[in-house]
Amino acid sequence: MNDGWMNRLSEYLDDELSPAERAEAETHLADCPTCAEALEELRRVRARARSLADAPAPEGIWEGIEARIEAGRTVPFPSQGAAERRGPGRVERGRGRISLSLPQLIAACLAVALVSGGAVYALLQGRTAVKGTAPGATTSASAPVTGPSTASAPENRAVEPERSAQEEPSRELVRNDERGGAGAAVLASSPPTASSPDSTPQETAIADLRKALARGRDRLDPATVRTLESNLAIIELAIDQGKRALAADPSNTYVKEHLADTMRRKVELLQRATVLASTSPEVSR
Amino acid sequence: MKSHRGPLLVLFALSAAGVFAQVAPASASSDSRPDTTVAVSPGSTLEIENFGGAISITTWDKNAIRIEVDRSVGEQVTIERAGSTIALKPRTRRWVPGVVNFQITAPRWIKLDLSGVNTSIDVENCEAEVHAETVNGDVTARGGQGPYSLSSVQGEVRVQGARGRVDASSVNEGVQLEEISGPIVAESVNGGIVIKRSRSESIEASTLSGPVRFEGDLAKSGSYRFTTHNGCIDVVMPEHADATVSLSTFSGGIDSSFPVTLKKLEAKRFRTVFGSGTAKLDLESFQGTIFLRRPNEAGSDCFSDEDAKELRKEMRKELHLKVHKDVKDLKDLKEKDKDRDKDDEEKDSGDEGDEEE
Repeated sequence: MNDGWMNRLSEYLDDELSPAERAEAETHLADCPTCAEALEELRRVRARARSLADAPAPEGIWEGIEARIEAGRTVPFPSQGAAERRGPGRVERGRGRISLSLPQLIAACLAVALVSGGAVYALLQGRTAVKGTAPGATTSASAPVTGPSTASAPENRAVEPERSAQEEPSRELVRNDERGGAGAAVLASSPPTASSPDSTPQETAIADLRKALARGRDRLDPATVRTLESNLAIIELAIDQGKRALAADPSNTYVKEHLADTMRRKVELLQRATVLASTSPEVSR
Repeated sequence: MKSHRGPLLVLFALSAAGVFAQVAPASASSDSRPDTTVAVSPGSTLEIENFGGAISITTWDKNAIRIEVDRSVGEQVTIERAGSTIALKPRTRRWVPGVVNFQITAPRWIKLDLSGVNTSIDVENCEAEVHAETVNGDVTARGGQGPYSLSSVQGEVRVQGARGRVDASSVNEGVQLEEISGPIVAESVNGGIVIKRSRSESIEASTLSGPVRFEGDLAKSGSYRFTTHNGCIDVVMPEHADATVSLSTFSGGIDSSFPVTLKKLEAKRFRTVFGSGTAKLDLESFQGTIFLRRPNEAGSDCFSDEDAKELRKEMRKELHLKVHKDVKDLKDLKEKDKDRDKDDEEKDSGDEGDEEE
């Protein structure tokens, strides 16, 4: 890992490098997953910070967070987002770094934590299909998942999909080892270029929508804001996983389409949230 | 809500100034009974905008709209007409939106444009276009031709027995559709999608975090696409279906009760053909299992699938790590901030000391 580049990622992000340095940085990013991951994190933090107004952390938030850290727990689903509260904030600007005020940075980091917490919460709910299964459903929780219902069905056996290049009789249980991708290289091994799915006009649209949403979020009920943010986090996680999958298998058409579709969903959800924020009646809370 | 309305249609519980038609003045009574009936001509649209409460629409053969309001909440309602549109909404008082339970009986042919915030919406037997949208509440439709366009952010969307097109979406809950014969588009982010006993020729169902379940016949030339990111796909189809099935997964699995032959199209994408293969069925799950099952076969519970459990565990772990990292960053920031404040205070006190000297 080149620590020199690690320290200059924000310059890269802010387009402050010379063309030659930029090219060099991109070459390095292509070979350094750690730097690529750090860059992605910076981009996320910056995007979130830009979508939030200067806002100090709410009083008492630190104590709560510290207590949870001490207790070895994660941040639970928040009762109120820090960004919803306004007040004077302390400003700190770093030279040659992302131009964020400290409150913005804190709010951004907090937002990341809260959003992640929201997603965790949503996942921990163990949501199953749809509440209230209608009459006539044939599914059964107690039924074996993969068991054939007829005695004549062929036996289950697992194979790698790649091995089934030839026509292969099944009932098959096809699995891949790349499951979850949690251990896979983070992001693509390539730097964010114009052809990268996350650096297209979609990203600009997403940033614009986030700004618009930030302007109108006070009109939304805090619970709705939390729901929207936790769902955005779910989408972002899916995008991250899609990117990792694409990095592992760049020519995979399915993954490309899936990633594009997930990006579209993100834009649509932001659009919807923005419309909601702009059309909701102002209610004094 | 439209910003401008034309002449008023009804003056109920009268407003002498003629600015608003007011319905359902505050009352101690908690019963719900007919408040007023408004004549309408074919081609009209009924528009209701509610903030809190419920909107319930049933239909009849008369060319009139009967408006009932649950008086227990003591709100007033304005009724306005603009061209062929009749608009109802709770009267806003002191900038506080009203909360009303609407019970409406409307002509079958009337178009409906319904919206709410903390509102549940229920519609029955509508034979014209229905647009219903809420933020926090369920949306339900039964029978009728529609077409239906229904959405909720934090509520479930359910449709049963619709004969026309159904567009149904929820952000944070599921979508459940039964006995639909028109084209279907169903979408969720964090919820499952269930489609049962439908005879639709075109279905597109997509979610990110949740399963997609389909149970029904496949039309000869039908087109069906079911996708999820983190969930299973469970398709129950007839033994002798005629369908070309495309199955795609990145890190999930495929489990078929039918004796099928999988042809690999490319990495992670397979195809199998049932019968003459005339219908097109695309099944995609990024990291869940795709099940193909016979009718009346023992069900696959997606969330008891060990693989899905394992995957969700990994996702949780990943998110936990991320949260821990973010919290650590926050703590570091706070420590730095404290140190800086301390330095500033020391510097300030030093300066004051210098000045005193």
